[in-house]
Amino acid sequence: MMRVRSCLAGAAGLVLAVTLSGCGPSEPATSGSPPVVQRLTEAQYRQSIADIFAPDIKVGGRFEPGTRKGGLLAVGGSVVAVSASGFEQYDVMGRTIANQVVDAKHREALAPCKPADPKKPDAACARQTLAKYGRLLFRRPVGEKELASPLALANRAAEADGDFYAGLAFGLAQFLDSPNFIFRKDVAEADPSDSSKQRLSAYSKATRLSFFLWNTTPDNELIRAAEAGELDSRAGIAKQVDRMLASPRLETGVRAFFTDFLGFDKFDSLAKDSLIYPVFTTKVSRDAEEQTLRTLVDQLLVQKADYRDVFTSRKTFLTRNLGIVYKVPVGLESGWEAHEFPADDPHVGLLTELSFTELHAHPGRSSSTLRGKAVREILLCQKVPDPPANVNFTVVQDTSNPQFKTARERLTAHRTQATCAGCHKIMDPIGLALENFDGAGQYRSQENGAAIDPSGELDGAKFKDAAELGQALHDNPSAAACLANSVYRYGAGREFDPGEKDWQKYLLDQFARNGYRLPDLLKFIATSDAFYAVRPAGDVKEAGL
Amino acid sequence: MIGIDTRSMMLRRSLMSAAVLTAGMFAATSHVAVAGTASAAPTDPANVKARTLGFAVTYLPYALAKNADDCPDGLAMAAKDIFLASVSAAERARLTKAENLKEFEQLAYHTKDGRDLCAVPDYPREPQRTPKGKVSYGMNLDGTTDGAATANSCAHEKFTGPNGEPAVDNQTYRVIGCSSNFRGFPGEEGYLESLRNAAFKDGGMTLLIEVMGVKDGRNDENVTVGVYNGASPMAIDPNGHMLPYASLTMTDDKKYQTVAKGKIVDGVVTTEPTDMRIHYDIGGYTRVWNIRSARVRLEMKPDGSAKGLLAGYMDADDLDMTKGGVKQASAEMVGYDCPTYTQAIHRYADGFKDAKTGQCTALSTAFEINAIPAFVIHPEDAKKTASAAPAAH
Repeated sequence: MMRVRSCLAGAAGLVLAVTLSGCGPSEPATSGSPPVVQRLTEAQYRQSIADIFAPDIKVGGRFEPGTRKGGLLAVGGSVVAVSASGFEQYDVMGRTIANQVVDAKHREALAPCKPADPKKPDAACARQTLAKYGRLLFRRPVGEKELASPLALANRAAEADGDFYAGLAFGLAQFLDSPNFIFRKDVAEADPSDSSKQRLSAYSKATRLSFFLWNTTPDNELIRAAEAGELDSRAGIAKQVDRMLASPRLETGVRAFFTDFLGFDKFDSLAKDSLIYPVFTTKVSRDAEEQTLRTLVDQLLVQKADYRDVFTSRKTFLTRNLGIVYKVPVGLESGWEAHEFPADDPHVGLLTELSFTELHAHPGRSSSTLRGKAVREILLCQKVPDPPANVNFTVVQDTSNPQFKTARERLTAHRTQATCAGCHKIMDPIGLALENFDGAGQYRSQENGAAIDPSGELDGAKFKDAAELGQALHDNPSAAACLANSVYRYGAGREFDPGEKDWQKYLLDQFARNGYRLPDLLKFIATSDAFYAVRPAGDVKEAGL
Repeated sequence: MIGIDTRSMMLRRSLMSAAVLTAGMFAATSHVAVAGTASAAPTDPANVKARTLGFAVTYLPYALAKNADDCPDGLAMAAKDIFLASVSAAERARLTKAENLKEFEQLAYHTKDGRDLCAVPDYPREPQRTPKGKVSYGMNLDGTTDGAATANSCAHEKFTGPNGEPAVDNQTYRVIGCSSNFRGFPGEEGYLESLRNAAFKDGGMTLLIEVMGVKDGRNDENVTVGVYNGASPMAIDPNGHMLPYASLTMTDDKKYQTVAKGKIVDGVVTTEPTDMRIHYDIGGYTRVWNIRSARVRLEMKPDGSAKGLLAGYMDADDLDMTKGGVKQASAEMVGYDCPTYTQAIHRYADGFKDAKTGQCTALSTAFEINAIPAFVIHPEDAKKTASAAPAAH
């Protein structure tokens, strides 16, 4: 279906001024893709529990690690399963959560009814409670068949324990153990306007939208809109999208995207040699992650700036822990202080923030190669081949060799190996620009007494230092394209389908026309036909409990 | 009440318009021009923006020369040493047995009529063993070349500094220089010194130094130096060392803010005399030092650190640890005899004569300053509201 945007026309037949977003090429049709099944990430699971029940409900247990596909955990979530031990953990978490929901502290607020006698089963109240939470946990109403088993379990357990609430906990836990909660499943249904086609069910649209913009389960209003059929119309979707974009909860969604996009899950295992980098601590590491997320939220959501400016901006937020590493004063005793690096300061943009320089470095030294690779793969969405199995890294790793004092000198020697040159050529010239920042992100002008040369080039654009690298990245069309493509893939939970090539170009064109602003990109994707299109691929059956 | 010059707020505000942010750093890696490097020395000081250099003290021991010939008769004796020296060998052997401990403590720590020794500061005692060496760290505080009495100082013997500086005053060195608690043993710091300096790491003491209005870090005729207690604890790395470049809030208690005029000559800051007050906490017990006519001499190094001396007249009462109800049994744990020690303090006091008695009430003292670069944050800057960015969920 072509989507036609209206243009204004004057009485004399002239085309009058139109807004950038109001006129332009129409959205190309896409064939969509097969429905996707994605395992909730740890953050999505936790946020869902907090939003469905209460923020103080504790989620204990271990989550199995995710898998990156195409650089995103969100896309990898469609190819991971749950192992036996992983399910045991979900079961432990489910029972722990259920027990808290029904405990004396929470039951008053969370249970929609009270049993006639708390020492006995109360089928009506159990049904009412389980139906309420089943709807929220499964992100759609639960049918009688799905309700029967947990209800029976709740009543039996209440009878055996002489405690209504203990029984209710068993029923709730059964919902929490269900794949219908642990996984987000796209459900396709016949398109009433064209029986040869399928469309995403309203509840699936609600789920996709909610996890895309808020990184959590659909709220009551979104489920209501799905139930009322409002999400089957463009206007209905647009209304919900506008509501969600205006909500403070959008920040959670944006943070979740950038946490995935920038690979911040690596912070969980980041370690540095404390003798070489005594300034690095867990607190610094956590603050480094938050600094970048906070700066991105401010620039892209609050200021609604051009995305590309993240590579050239001098504005950020710092804590006192970070001030020690950046060697700048932070007046605020605790918490975050807005900071702008002066014009002559080498700290410019995302690439010079600790979240980049320390995350993409070794425990005891910097790494031009890791940083160059990160720029190529994360920020430009370009794949760098893995090194061959038999590479000799000795020259690169020996930082005490007086013959090769700087990383540039060591890598030049390393690149003399023919098998290494090809990949290093596309990584090192970028990463060497950041050699003024050591493995913990601290600025230095020398290495082993030799001056550091941070010049290089990125796809033909020469630069003399990290600030100019930031500008080169700002100007590189692949940077903006990578962001737009990644946001779409993140939201859809999959790679682009071959039938979406034209739509992909349209996406990038719209991003540019809207000044590379993230909120406009999110709105565009969330209100597009492509985001919800499913390829007719056969029925997708509901899984039973 | 000792007058403290606390003009810091007015001076700071007048300098803020010229200063770079709230504090800048004197460091080889700083991108602010560093005096002493090739990119330094502005040609026209009138066009140079004044900046502030900040430091956090990491170690402040008494500046003790520890000359080899200081204590020919041995180290200063504690009460038990004095007592055991006064009895026969057989009595020594008897009293030092575990079952006679109570009797021993009663005899060693009390006067013959049963009073605790710390309550009888004039109890007859041999004079404290004091350093006999001629060299000491310190400064010429009384302005004389020979230690003769002046209107406000008492006659005393001067030292020569380690680098040949003449007429050094350091009477505190005479009192504590042969005490193991301060002098320590070869390779081992004195117990009381290590206890006090541990306070820097455990949050009991933060001492900040600001050199304000600096236009030329090598030579500047007119700077202002602030010495403040800090309200923030030092930042410590995983290896237990204090971290440089931390932002540390100074105290808002004006009693512990000292500001003095100074100058920089060849990278060394010196200040005019002013009264200073410093406090520190050890194990929840707060001590206050009143240092009168205090002056700082600080060598600022290219790596941003600083080393030097803090010299002045320490109130005799502040030096006298027997004040405040201490018992001899406690004083024994840190190895000194109350009457001997108190008498030594008053015997060697050389400054600030009491108008009525003519006795000097303070002792010339010197501390060694070791400092790392830091950002000194003034209390009003530390209390700003949080940034406008949305809070994390």
